[in-house]
Amino acid sequence: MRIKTQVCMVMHLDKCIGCHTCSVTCKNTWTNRPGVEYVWFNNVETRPGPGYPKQWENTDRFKGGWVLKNGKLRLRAGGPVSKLANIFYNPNMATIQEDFYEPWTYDFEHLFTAPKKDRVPVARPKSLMTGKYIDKPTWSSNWDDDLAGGNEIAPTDPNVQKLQEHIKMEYEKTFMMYLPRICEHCLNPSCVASCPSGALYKRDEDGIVLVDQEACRGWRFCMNGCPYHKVYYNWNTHKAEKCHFCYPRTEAGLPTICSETCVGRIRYIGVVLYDADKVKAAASVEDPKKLYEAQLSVFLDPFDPEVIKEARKAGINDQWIEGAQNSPIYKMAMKWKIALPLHPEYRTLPMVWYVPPLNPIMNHIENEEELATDGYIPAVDQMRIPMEYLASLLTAGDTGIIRHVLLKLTAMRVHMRAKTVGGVDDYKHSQLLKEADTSVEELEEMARLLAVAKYNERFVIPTGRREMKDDLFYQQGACSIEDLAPPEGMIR
Amino acid sequence: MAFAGDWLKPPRHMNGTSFFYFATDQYRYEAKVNEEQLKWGGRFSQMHPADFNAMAARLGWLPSYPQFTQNSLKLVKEAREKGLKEADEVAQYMAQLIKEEKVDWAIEHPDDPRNFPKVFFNWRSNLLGDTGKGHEYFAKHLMGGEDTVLAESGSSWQPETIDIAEKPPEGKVDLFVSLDFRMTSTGLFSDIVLPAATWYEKYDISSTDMHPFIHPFNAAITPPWEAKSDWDAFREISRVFSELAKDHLPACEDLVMSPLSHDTVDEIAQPFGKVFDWRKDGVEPIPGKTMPKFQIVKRDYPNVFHQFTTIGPDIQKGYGSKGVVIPGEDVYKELLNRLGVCGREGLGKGRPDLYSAKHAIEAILDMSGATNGKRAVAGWKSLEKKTGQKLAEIAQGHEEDAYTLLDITAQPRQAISTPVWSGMEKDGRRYSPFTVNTEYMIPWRTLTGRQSFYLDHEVMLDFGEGLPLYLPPLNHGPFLLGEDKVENSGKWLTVRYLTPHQKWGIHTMFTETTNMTTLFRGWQTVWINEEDAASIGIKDNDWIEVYNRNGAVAARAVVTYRIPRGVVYMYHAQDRTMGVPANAINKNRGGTHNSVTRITPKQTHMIGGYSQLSYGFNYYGPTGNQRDTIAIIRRLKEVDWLED
Repeated sequence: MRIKTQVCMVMHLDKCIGCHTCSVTCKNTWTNRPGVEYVWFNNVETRPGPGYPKQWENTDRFKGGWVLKNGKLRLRAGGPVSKLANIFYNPNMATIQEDFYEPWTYDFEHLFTAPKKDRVPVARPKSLMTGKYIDKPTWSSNWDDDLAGGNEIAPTDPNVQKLQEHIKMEYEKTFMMYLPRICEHCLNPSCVASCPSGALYKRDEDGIVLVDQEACRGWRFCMNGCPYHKVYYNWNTHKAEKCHFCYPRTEAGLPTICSETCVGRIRYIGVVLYDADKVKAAASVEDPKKLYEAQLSVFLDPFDPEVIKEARKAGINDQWIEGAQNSPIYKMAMKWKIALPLHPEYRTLPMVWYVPPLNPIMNHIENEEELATDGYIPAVDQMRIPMEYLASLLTAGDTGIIRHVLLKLTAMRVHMRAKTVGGVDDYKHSQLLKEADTSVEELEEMARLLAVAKYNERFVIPTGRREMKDDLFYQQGACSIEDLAPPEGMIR
Repeated sequence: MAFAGDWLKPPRHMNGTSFFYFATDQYRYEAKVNEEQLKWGGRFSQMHPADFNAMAARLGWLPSYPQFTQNSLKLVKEAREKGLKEADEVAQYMAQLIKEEKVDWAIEHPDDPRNFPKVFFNWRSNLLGDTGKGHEYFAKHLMGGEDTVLAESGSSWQPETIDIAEKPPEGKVDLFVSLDFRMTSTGLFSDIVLPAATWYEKYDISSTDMHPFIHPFNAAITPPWEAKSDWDAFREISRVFSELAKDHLPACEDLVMSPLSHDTVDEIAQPFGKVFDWRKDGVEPIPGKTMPKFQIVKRDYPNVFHQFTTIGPDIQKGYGSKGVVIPGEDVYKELLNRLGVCGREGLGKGRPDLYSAKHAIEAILDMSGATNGKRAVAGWKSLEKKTGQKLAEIAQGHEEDAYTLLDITAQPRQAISTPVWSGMEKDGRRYSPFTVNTEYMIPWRTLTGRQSFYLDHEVMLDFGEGLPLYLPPLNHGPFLLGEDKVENSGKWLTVRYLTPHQKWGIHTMFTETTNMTTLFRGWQTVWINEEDAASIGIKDNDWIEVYNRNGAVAARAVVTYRIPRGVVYMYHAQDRTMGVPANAINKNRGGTHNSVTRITPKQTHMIGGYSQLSYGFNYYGPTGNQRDTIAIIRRLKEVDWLED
């Protein structure tokens, strides 16, 4: 057993209202600089839709993530030999204009300086790449917001294209959900494996995946090596940049900026313990539909005395062990199994988990007041978002798992509704409870975390461990921006 | 304090809908009422809205400004010269003048240059790029700027009691001043734009009944360049104004006409909901009974600065709103202590100092029951007297609470329940309207003291709206007969045009930044169903224009299956400052979302002097309804930026 710790996030999609506050606060904090105009470490996608960058899930195009070849894990984009062959021209890389978008601003200054005229002046759109006026923007980080573009755009969603049954995109059958995305901080990160310079690394203490800005040589294989397309290129510094889970905040016990500012309070942060020795095997399971289960098998029960003993041996202190015990992630992803990984078939073991959204059913439930508990079971199968679509996102196509989660969430709602306003029959013996494979106690525990949990329950983040590193006494008062100055004054 | 009630009363308030309806000459372009409604009543429902509004002003239902074509300062002076000493006498005199038609109602002569709003201060509102319904009428008649009004007054329904000039006036405003930190369309139309401090450069407080907290705004930096906080900007204007007034506008008396008000005895001025128009129904014009009230206010123009910067003596007589009175003696003493004593020579010397925004914040925190427990209890006690119910306990336990700016800066505080609101925030509850009425047996402020579903006012019955009912959308076409002279060779579609609030804001503020516009498609866009779009050859992101008799707007199409056929959405408040080319109709800058709308007044909102149907500033009066717009959408073939 090789115990390690990992910070994780759960996003509860039922509560996402698509406001993009996470994107805006993230951008204002981290990517409001020249060179990263087009970069959104955090973005929110309307689904169905191609996402940002366009069709990032199209693995045939970008060749991200891992594949299993002869029982062995290989980068889809190829190993060192093919990298060397393509090192000056990477055919799989996304381009800013085709796949991201040409960032633009407006000529605001003109509103102040325009000469006196008969007609009011206007600030024209201006490319942030060329500095020239553009007639109209043609794509953005969120061009298809709320199904804008309709049938021209929504069906280009790779998940839609994979569906067995053709879905007709029309007014009466509209379905929609939001998918907020950050870096997955995978247990088996393919971006790290893709880097020819070894600049990307998964840091030991909390599993956050980072780019060493000094080691990065700007080869950009990480950009498409990441199947989630969450590594970006800064054209100004010629280095790769990515979401770093706001580590300066998490180290201080604070949630990431996207989580802190989330209006719907959809985000949860916590740590989990896992066995690093099991990662490779879990990523190498043959059947993609078995990958979710395999991924769950690497995590360790933080209450198991054996695990605690081993964790201490591995240098993990009691605060982190306690953090793992109180972790909202452990509860949602591992214990209740209602939070699922995004595209487990990429075999990277992503560490951002999603509770799938319940959604309106296609047909109206009649006489809801008198509806028996078990009447909700067929309702789950009639929801607007096709189960197959959610499965394509979260379970490598296994609709059984999605159905089970939705049943559990439905059971929670039915139970809580019965508890507060009544209106359903004897719950304890219902088929719904049986099919959802849960108990009243568990549902109430879930309801608390999903619906009423306050800040301290949603974010359980032990502070970063600096006590073992560096000469902290010497470093007190030093400015973090300037490093330790002057370098010649360092006595070691 | 907001309306200088600590120095003089009453303030002069005007309801915006009526003001702009006349000031922008929109009344000239009315379309006849729904055929459906003709089946009802007929005495009022067939009156032109402008005639109805003039009647509402005449009967004291609504405020009306400007008041009379004759100068109100001179009217009082003349009354005094006739030896009238008492306020009542002057009011009687006014009623007589009006009866004998020796003074003219300004509302009946909106196009007389003496009634133009010649100087206009626009404070932090995007009147000309967003909130002004019927934007092109604003541009044409109020501002005298470029406009795309396509309606013709000749073919429109004209009022009977309004004196209409042959040629509609254009550019009524001589001086338009904006105080705003953003360059909106309003700024572009302004003669002067005063640089204003942003939220992060000034001190302010905010609260609403939507959440239970009192929030502070704190300056992170001092205002850059010449920018000033709103408080400082108005204070400095008052300083210069006062200096100039010494020579040009000495202290004098003014006549203020005010409507029959909510929460006062005026609510029983016109009982049984019967309408008697003193002009023709044989009743006497009696101020405060069958017509508005007339009061004399002493204007001390050379001392406006001192009045602005100190708390006036009248606070000591008590203060409050909605009929709730808080005794003021102790408050005044506390304010002297909390704000400090003004040492500036002049009228304000020795009074509580109100020089800076921080002073004003502390004064509000001290005087409001929401932030000062003693005031809350006093307020409830005042309502106890009126209702005979035990109410003080609602705020009890809070007597010691007196939040300061520093307190709410450390952490926003929960508001204390006050009788000004009908919700209750006691016991950690969240605001919900009318909880005090149900739980403490406080009568609703209605004729019956209960929730009223039946309104027996004559006008309501005349409109067939005595009980709540569904009215179908108005069925006005995009043009009146013979009005449409727009050349239209290509394909087009007539649609219902809606302007809902966008998902990222109520209005323009903050949504026009680079990042926010990047989060979608930049400005301006109109959503349309994809089958509708295909039927007229519009593809996603194509340039389009939407137009009708009110004007035209140029934008890009967002094509989707998510909205039904027959409607287009133009999200509220995008403004034409960014990325908007010319329209094809008259090559003017393609307007704003309100270019194709207009004010559609609802006469039943204008009823006054009858219980809950009485005018209340910021509470009750006509809304500037711009819905039910029908417009034409088509492709915009050419893009002209009008900038080269």
